[in-house]
Amino acid sequence: MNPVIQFTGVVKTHNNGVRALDGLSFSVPKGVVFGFIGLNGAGKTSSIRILAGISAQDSGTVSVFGNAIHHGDSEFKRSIGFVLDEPLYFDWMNAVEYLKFVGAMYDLSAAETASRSGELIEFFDLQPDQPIKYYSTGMKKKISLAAAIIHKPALIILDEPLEGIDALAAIAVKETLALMASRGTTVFITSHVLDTVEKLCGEIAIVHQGKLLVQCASADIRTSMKHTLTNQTYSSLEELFLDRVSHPGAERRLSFL
Amino acid sequence: MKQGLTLYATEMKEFFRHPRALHLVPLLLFAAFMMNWIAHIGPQYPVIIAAIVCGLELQFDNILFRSPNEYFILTVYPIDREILVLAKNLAAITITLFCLAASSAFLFYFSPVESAKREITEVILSFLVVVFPLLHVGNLRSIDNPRPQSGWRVRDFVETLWMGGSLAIALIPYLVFVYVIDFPLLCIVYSAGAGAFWYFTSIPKAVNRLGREQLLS
Repeated sequence: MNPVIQFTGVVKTHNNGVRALDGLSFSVPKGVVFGFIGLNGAGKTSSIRILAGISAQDSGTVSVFGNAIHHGDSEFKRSIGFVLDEPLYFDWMNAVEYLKFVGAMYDLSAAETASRSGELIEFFDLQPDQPIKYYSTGMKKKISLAAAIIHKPALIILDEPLEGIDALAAIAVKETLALMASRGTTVFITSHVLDTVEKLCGEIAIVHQGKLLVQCASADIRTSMKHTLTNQTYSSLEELFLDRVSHPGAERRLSFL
Repeated sequence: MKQGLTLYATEMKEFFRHPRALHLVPLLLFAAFMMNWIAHIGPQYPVIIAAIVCGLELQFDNILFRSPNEYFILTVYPIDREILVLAKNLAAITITLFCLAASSAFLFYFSPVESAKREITEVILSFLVVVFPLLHVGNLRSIDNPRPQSGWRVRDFVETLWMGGSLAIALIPYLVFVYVIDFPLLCIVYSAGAGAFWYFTSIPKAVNRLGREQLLS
């Protein structure tokens, strides 16, 4: 079966000369919650921006649903929902207006949009008549999420979706994502909360300095060897992550504390 | 079609709801003052056209970033770029026409000229001559020189002056047709030609450039 997302040798250098992706290759199988993790500047957002069509890779190929995508393509986005690091809403609209706009962009019928909007607004506990600019950070994140799933996408790509939202909403979001994955939607998620990633994701990839370090099933983390000589295994994703991305011997300390 | 109509409606709604429309107020007040003065020395239409076009500079010159995140919204949804540019341009034409009609009524009220019939004809003809060249330049400028943040900033003021300069150049054919060869009908012929260029050449060019450029990346 074709992977839903496939990066092959993708290189991206920003205008300021920083190499964000350095031959990144990985693939995302269908119907999993895929955790894409790394330190700040590892290349997560650059990868998502390429998928969203905001920027283009310098070399390498990116395929979605088995087809190579090119900067400027838009048709493939019909079955994708995005929550980017950039807020995706017109802040002068209210939630109802914005979801109506998004529904029209995905070619949903007016009746379908109205019914799904009502359900999403209730589910995410959004203020329907208030302009989005007056929403709290968490509410803004929730409206972005609502807009990303209104068209029942086959793939949803989320950059830090749980950042800034309250505990109840976070639980609701995680449950929704797990439910979507169980029904065949592929969920691609970046997060700095490793505990959440480990619990939520069926598969994880650790990216560092624009390259893939590890890709494995979450279930395999605790059985993978830390030290072959001692037969010691990793106790958590956090331990695996720290082991792979931290610099050995680089102890960091503030002199005044 | 549905996407295009939604985008057009969104543009219209945004204009009337956003405080940005207030850019027109100081320009119209200044124009009202100028109308009185200029009526004694020459035609008044340039004052009205200049006030409106400069006040609506963002509708022409910054079509992708009137909200700071607008470009990202327009990128992640499956929107045909041709429909996007076309809808935004058609909304700019509608908004300009609306503002011209409303402000002409307002400004001619203050004008000492008794019959404004000729002046109104001049406003309409000069609008027809300038609108498509300004859209063409504006589309390319929106892609080459995007402003993610806009409002009452120095850069916006500079861009408004730049728009005034573009308008002055775009008005040259009008001056030639009306004042040099005295054949105003040519304005309509010229506008039809400019409109065809805008639709068949300028929009595809902007779409093509939008596909190649990576704005703010």
